[in-house]
Amino acid sequence: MKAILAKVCCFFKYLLFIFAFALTLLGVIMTYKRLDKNLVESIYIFIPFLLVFIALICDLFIKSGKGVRKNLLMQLTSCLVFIVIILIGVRAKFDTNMLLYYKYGISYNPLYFSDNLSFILSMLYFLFFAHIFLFVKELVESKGKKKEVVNS
Amino acid sequence: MILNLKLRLVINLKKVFCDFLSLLASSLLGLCLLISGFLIFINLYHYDYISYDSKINYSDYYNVSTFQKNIDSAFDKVQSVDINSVSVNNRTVANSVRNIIIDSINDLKKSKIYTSVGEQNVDFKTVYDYNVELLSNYSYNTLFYIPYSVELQVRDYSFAKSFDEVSSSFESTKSYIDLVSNYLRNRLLSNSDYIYTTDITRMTIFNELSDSLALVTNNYVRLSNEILKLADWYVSSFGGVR
Repeated sequence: MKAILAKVCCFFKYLLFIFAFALTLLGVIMTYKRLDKNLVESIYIFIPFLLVFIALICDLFIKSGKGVRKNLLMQLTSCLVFIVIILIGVRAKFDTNMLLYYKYGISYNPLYFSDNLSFILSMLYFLFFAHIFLFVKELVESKGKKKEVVNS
Repeated sequence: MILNLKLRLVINLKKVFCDFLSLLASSLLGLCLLISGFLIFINLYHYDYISYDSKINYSDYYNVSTFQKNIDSAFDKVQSVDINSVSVNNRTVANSVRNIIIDSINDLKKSKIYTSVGEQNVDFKTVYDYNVELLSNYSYNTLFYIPYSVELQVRDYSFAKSFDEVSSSFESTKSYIDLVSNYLRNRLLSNSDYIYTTDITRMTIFNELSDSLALVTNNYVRLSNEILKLADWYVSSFGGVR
């Protein structure tokens, strides 16, 4: 049951990541366009996305990633984090009850988005470092097992 | 024997290291769960709070009906003055002042709050629109423009003195309405913030929506009272049925 749940979450994780990234990109483009700022300045927002993306790719292609893929806590947390990012992106774009939505005349609420940006970035960094720790753990454990097999 | 001990030590160290890494990863994931859980719940609650709307019957709503009655009454009073019965010397000024008042009353009759009749859903956006209309349109077009332009017309006549009282009343009402409307606009605009919903006193002892609606409609009533005062002054200055 646990393994099936982890597999399902693992599949959705990739899908949710794409949506979360797209909505964040939309938010950044809308906000920076309004302020006439150069998009290059927003690079710090995308660094954690890039790091998590690399970690997700490593999940798929590196052998020690198999252990991470089976970790139910990791899969559930990843899904939840991406769901929250999507929720924030969707509310910033479509929640017309927030009156700042009308104030800037861009059919977007950049203030709500930027208020939540720090949460988004910190969660992504946490997720990336958790991935790294689990990778290293799996790597060390797999090497230990190999040595034990050789010694025996 | 020593080699075996060394090997066991290394294996144990590795196990401790792995457990430590696992603990670190779990702590970070726990933090993520905590933050994301908080964000999900606060967002759901915030969405529910700000999408709240209430059905209001405008015909029974005291402030709105008072505003509508005042405007209609002011219109009738100004219309009751027969320009032909005004002395020839004052006829031109009576006509131009009447036009100024009628124009502004017609402008107020086009306002969203005047045209609201029957039972309607009122949400934060509706209250915000009423407030913005008052602040950006009527605060200038009515409360500033009317006394200024009427004063220009009557300054050379005997009733200029009596108009001073009306004019100063307009001025003080304008400053009050601007103050309250600006406060209300800032308050309403801050509804994107979670703090908007976590203020305990506001959640428990009063309803933000009905409070904002009462404030904005009260401003409209104050505005209409000034128009009524102006109509009374017009009638007393140029004759007609008070």
